[in-house]
Amino acid sequence: MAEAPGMPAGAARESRGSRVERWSFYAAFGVLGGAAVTLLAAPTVIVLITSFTSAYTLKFPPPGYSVRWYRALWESSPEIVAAAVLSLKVAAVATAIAVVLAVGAALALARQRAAWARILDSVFMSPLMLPLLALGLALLVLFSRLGVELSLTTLVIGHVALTAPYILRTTTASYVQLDPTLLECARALGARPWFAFRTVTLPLVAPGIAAGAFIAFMASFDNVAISLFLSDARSEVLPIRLWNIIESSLDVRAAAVSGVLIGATAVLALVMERIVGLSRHVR
Amino acid sequence: MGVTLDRVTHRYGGTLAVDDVSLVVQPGELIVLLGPSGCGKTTLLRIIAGLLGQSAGRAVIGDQVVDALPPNERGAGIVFQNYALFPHMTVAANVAYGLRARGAGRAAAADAVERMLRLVRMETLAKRYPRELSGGQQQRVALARTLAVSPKVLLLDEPFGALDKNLRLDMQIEVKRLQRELDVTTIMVTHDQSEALSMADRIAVMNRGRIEQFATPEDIYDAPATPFVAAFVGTTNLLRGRLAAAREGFRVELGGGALWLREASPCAGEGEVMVVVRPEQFRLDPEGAEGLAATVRMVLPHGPFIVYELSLADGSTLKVTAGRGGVAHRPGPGDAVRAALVPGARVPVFPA
Amino acid sequence: MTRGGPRPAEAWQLALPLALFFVVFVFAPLGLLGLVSAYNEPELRTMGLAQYAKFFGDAFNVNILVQTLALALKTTLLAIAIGYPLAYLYTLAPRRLQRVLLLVIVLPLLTSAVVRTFAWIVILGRLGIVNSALQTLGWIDAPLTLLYTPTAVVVALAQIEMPLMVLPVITALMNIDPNLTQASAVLGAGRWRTFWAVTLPLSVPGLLAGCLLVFAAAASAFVTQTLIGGGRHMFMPVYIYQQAIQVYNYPFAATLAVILLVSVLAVVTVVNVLGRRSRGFVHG
Repeated sequence: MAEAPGMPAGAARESRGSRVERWSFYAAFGVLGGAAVTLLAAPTVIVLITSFTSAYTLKFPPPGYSVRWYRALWESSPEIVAAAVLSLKVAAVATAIAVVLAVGAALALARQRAAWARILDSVFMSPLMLPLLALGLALLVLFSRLGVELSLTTLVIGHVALTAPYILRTTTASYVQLDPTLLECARALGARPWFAFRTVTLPLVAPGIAAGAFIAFMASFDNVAISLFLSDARSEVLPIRLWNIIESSLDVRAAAVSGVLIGATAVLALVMERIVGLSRHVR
Repeated sequence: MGVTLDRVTHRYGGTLAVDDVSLVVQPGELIVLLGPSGCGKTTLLRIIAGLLGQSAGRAVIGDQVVDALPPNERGAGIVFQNYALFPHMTVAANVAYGLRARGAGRAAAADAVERMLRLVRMETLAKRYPRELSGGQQQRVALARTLAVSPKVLLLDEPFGALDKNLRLDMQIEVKRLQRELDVTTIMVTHDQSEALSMADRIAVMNRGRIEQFATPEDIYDAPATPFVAAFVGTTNLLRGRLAAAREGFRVELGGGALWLREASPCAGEGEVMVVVRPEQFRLDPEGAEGLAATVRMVLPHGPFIVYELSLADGSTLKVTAGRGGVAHRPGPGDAVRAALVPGARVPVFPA
Repeated sequence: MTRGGPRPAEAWQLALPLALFFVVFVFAPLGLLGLVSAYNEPELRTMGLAQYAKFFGDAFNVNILVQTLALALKTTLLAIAIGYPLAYLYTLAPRRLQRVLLLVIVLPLLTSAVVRTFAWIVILGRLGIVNSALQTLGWIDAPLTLLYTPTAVVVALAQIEMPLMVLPVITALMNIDPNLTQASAVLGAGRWRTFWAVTLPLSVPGLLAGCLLVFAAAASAFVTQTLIGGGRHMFMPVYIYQQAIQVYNYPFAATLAVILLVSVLAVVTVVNVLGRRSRGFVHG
């Protein structure tokens, strides 16, 4: 094609001020954001490295590397293993109960605009905002007034209250995104409510429920504030055991426990990301 | 099977979405509910499907009053505007859904699925998921899914709204073919008048929850019952004027001139009136001839015909279309012309 | 109208089990907590406001409350300072990098808070990375005491709770119509002006939501407060724990819990009211 007649010889250039303005902007956010990413990730990495130390102290960088603290954890720390098993048990049972309760509530409340539904929703979400320590103490007072001995059951009850909001939130979010015409369509095609729920609602909301259950499980597994008041003298959950170790002796086994927890969390999170798109449900 | 609506009214909160609508649809007929958004046409469709309980009135499908029946027992099949295909099921599973919901076995459902997919020419894509299909293909699947349960009445909610223009015509022909072939009573909702005019046996034009006119496409276009119908269907000049009886008919004074009409309906009383003239009912003559004196403002070539925008002596504007070929006189902007009615033009007159 | 969802009558039934659970195991106990705080002595004999008088009559107690709220406030501000640029960087990043970034933000949230607190002990300890780096550089001779200081608690908490700030801000930033910032650019505003005049104001609802989460979490972060703060710096959660489990003074522990609860809820309510205003402003 021939050149258009009357083209000017040179092209206009961006002014220097504009260039400086643009670069300073991206440089500022790049540096600050990059620093934040480092700050977010570095501590975890440092603990992971420390857990492989060969020394008796938490010196960083470690003077040498070994897996001795992991072996110590596995071979000669039955109380830590017992605490981990108890934590897993409590988190699993509490999450299972919370799923049943919270999914029902989410289905009921997600599409309601009425005031009572909105109030109920924020009530159910309140444990995320409350100081859980206060709830733990309150439950302890309730159980002692009622003459109920502390047990696995009392611990699980406390954990249901703290896990339910996570499941409620993710389930509500995926249910709201579910196109209501899909359900209407199922009904118009002859499906009874239960059949439509089983074949349309549940499969499409399941990733949200699973993501919520996973986050809830991790929150329960990590909880100290409630367990502090509700576990009986014999049963100690892992985070409290770990807290005790760190507070009293700074035993390097704490680093090994941390290493296991970091690894397990990362693996589980990546698996959940693959299956249900975890990160989409956290936002 | 026919569908009858008897004095159906529906309120959303304080507003009347459907206001005392009665409608009789004959078996095998395709009718279109046409109107601007918010006129209540979709609400009416959802009431028939049982997705919405009306505030008052009765709905009859066949010879059964269905108001007490939930959607799954009405026998009304509905295709939604966004098709509402189940994203987690294959095409085949989508089409089988209604049959499975009624307790059909796997084998029986599979037979029906194959038959329906062949009907909509989608048999090769049975194992695909909805997200892998084009808009037109998704619509075929949605149709097959609805037709698979042999509905007594087929409800279509803006069925072509999501398709691009070229595909739209193909699917209109396809739907019309299926409807004829299966002889299924069909009620379709749209805001697109050309779609309504080309597909419907009869059109119900709706406005503010009421039916303004229920008639064949020809009557809707040529003999609109209200100024709203006239303005909504097709392009129209709404002209205010004074009607007076004259020799062999009537005379309407408007725009600084006058038009002669053979008859005046629905309003024949003398006085202020609104005359509805379609652009193609005018003819342009050179100055000096009969008709309204006007000046050409703009000329817009529009494919097979040309649109002229004129201004009349009193400053009001007039749209006139003329064919492209065979016109000796082709005025340009600024030219003075005369606009006269073509012989035999039926021009409705309404009280102003 | 509820399209497709359960009708209100059925909705009640589905929400009922969780509602019952909350009545019995959240509200009843919290009510009881209030009741217990209204007893004058640990043996729960006479009722009165003696515990509250004791709390507010003693500068030591009031100071603990003030320190706790101040800790939460400082943590929140620091979390904004670090978290907001990260959230903004996320929105600028290409899609693939966004996935990685999101995982970097979410993973700490799922990792045990005890572990993440422990990480700060390793970093700030006498043999930790900060002290060894400073010594290697020759800037100091003996290790500094970094742990067990109020500043250390703020820094560690801000890092630990940062994801709670970043996630809502990302959501708010992603919800901003890109046409708005483009319109600002076409109208002649530079990147900085567009950020201050358009992006930042429109992300306020997310920012406030993040502030609430971080504030509430920091005020009741028992583990981090005790491990990083050490025994010398007392905050409300530890105080409650001591009074209940070690001193067995239930009325006073209950009083402390009620006061902490009311303080946090008061802040949450005020911020929520502000938030509702800013949301009305964002959505016109």
